[in-house]
Amino acid sequence: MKPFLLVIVYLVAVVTPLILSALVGGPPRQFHQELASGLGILAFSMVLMEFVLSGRFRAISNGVGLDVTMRFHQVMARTALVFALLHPLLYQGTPTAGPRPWDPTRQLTLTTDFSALSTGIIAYLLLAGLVVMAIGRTQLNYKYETWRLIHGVGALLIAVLLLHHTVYAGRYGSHPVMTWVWLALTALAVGSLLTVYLLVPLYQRTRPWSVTSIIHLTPKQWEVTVTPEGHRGLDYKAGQFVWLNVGHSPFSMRENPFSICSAPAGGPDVSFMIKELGDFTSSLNQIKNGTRAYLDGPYGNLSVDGRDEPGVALIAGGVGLAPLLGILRQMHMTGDSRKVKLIYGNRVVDQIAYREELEQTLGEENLTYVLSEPPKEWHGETGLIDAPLIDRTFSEQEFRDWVFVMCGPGVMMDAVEDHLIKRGTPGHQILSERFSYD
Amino acid sequence: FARSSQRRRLSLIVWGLNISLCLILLAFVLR
Repeated sequence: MKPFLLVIVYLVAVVTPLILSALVGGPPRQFHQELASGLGILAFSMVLMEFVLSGRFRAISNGVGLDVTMRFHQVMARTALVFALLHPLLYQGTPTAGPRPWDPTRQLTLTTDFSALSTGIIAYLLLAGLVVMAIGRTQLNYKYETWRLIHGVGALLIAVLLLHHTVYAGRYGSHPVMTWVWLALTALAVGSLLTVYLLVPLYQRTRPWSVTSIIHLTPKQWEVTVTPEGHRGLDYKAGQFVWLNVGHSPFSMRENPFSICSAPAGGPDVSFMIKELGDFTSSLNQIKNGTRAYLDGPYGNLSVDGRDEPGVALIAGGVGLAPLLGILRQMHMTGDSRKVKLIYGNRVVDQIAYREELEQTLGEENLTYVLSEPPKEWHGETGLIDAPLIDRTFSEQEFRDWVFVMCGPGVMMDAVEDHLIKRGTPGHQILSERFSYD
Repeated sequence: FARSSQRRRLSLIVWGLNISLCLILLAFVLR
């Protein structure tokens, strides 16, 4: 989905329950009661929208990029939390236990029915906990699959509790029309969660892969190749990534995102370049050939297929080479006539992977290695991938006309992008993907 | 996160959305 359309759809979806409540829910009450109810209604609809912004729905994330989708999910959750936290604090007046016969539209009646309020109170605490745990996720350092389970089950509980609270405690939510609206929206949200946690793994079980080779590329980088078992494989574009699960049940959530470094033109086998880091990647040397694997994807927009720029500039930092290697291999295998140059930065010389293949494919004049800690006998570029190096590598015309594809640490990509824009490269000719593996 | 320009653009979009939500909420309250 395109970014502008996504924002409009989001806004309409979030405010629809509020507008419907105003239309069917009886005359307005005092300012603060209405404000409190309005905040609660918006918070609930925003919480339900978070489910479809989980990043696993390609119809949404492939247009704007998974990274942007996830960031949107994170920041809108904070707004929803603020609305939810304010919601109960604004009610004023004299609460009553039961309905008052002289107040059929609940102009003056606030419910104190504890069963209806208690689900709201529990959801209130859970939502705050869920957001705080998400923000502090890197500091708390739990395993990725533990995190996913806690976040998923927590979100499911919150949705169900909020549905109960809204329908039984809400002046607007108890209206039959709104009860059905909230029931339908909650069903959609929970359905999207079950799709990701149950239906996708069920589908993955019918399309297993197995590990066919593991190559130690550099002291801390490996190449893992998988082959499809009894199916046609993956329909992907060079430069995309998948969620890879090696050696565990597809229901285990033990999967991590990795860029594909092989090319679609190379056949159905799919290869990944993986750096040892984090809980899965540190056990790479224990994987054996024949181990069962599962893939969810492809995701990502880092593709130069069908673009009409005369040249492709590839800028890689460390293991960020993976998707760019896939692009390079695809161009080479399909006899792509576009010019191509690669800048490949690392810390030390031992970290340079696929050296022979890169030199054969690109030739010396189109390949620039950069080392930030070079050995004494090093004659290549040194330091970081910075503005002067980029200026030495590309001509003015190349800055204007080529497509620039980069993948690597965030600091590198920010610096490169700022410089490219300064040199007149249009924004739509800069493609990038940030990796940070769990 | 991908690009710094995307980050700035998204930040603007989110603020725009938050302000829109507050205005719509105000319209609901004052109707």
